Amino acid sequence: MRSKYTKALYVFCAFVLVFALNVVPKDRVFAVTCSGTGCNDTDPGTTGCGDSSPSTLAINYPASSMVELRKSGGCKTYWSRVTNIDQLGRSFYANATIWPPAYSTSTPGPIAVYTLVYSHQQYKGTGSGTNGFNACGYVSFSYIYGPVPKSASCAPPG
Amino acid sequence: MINKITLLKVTAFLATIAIVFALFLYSNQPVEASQSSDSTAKSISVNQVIQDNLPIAKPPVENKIQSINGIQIQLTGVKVSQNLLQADVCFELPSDADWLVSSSPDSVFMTVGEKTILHSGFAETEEKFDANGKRTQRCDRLDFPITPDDDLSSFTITINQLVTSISEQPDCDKAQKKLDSENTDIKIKCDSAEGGFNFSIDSKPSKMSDLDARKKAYAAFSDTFTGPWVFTTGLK
Repeated sequence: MRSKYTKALYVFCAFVLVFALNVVPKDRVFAVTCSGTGCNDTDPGTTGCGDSSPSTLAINYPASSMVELRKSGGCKTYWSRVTNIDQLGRSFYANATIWPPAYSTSTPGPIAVYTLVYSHQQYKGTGSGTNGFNACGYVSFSYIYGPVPKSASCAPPG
Repeated sequence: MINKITLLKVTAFLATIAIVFALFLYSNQPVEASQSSDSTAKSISVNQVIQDNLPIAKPPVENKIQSINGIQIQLTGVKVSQNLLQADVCFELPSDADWLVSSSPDSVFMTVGEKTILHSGFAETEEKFDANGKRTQRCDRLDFPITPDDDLSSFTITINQLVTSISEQPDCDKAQKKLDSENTDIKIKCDSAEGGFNFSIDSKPSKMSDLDARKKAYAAFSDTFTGPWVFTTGLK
């Protein structure tokens, strides 16, 4: 028959282990909710693709904005992202368009400085580098009707 | 006299404490820079570079390879294409994150005489991997808008820092902890929605402008590796 001391020791050890498992901060884990062509025309943020081996393939800096061609290594998807980086702190309407196939996201109202908007994503399982994609978009004082056409302000320039 | 069973129990108890302590220490380790297997660069803590203000080496007059605080960047070529000066660079990756040469126009610039030209963008040209398939270097082509009046016989290219890209849905808690550790007195609240990300400033020092507060908060969503790397070159 175990002594009370032994039982108390076992309970204490169990408590310490449970405490340790919960107090140690865990890295955020994102579950990817799409795959292959099933990711086409979906949100890279909410699908988890944006946190699945993400990389920025190209950046361009048209006036007051940063346009990025983003890629998910895990999902093999590509999308456009535009950030308002106006150095005077002004708010602007914004649009992000990925070519192909011209998925476009326009903000309904002005966005504050250092706010970002991104397009839906497109899957492409083969290829490397910018892989034939152009991320387009910009910020403006007025509403932007997408998709924004390819131009020298895309990333990479179109 | 302590019997064996008692000794075993005490040992188990001490082992439990040791495991918990080790886990606590592990969870608080700073980010460690990865080390290329074919590089002579030393492993160095990213956070340590920022905190200790390690000395910056003065670059020689003519150089194509710069190593600052253990991270090497190489200028591999320059050329003129239409109205752009294009410079190709390759840099070692401090860690497995998405490291970039810039996240703002003024973080990379060229100096031609008295004139400063901010880069207009960049695009990845190549990735390099070690023998184990681990990504160790990234190469980009940097674009600088030039005019026919620019004398390109001698100019410098400066890369101020390497910076990690921001997630589509950034870790707000991590950013707040970073702001708190830097004693900014800035409190943020994040809003991740379909197709975008925004944050608001809940509180800030009274003398700090809204723009400065947003700029500091935005920077907290990234890690940085401070340079600068400065290259002197020219086109004959």
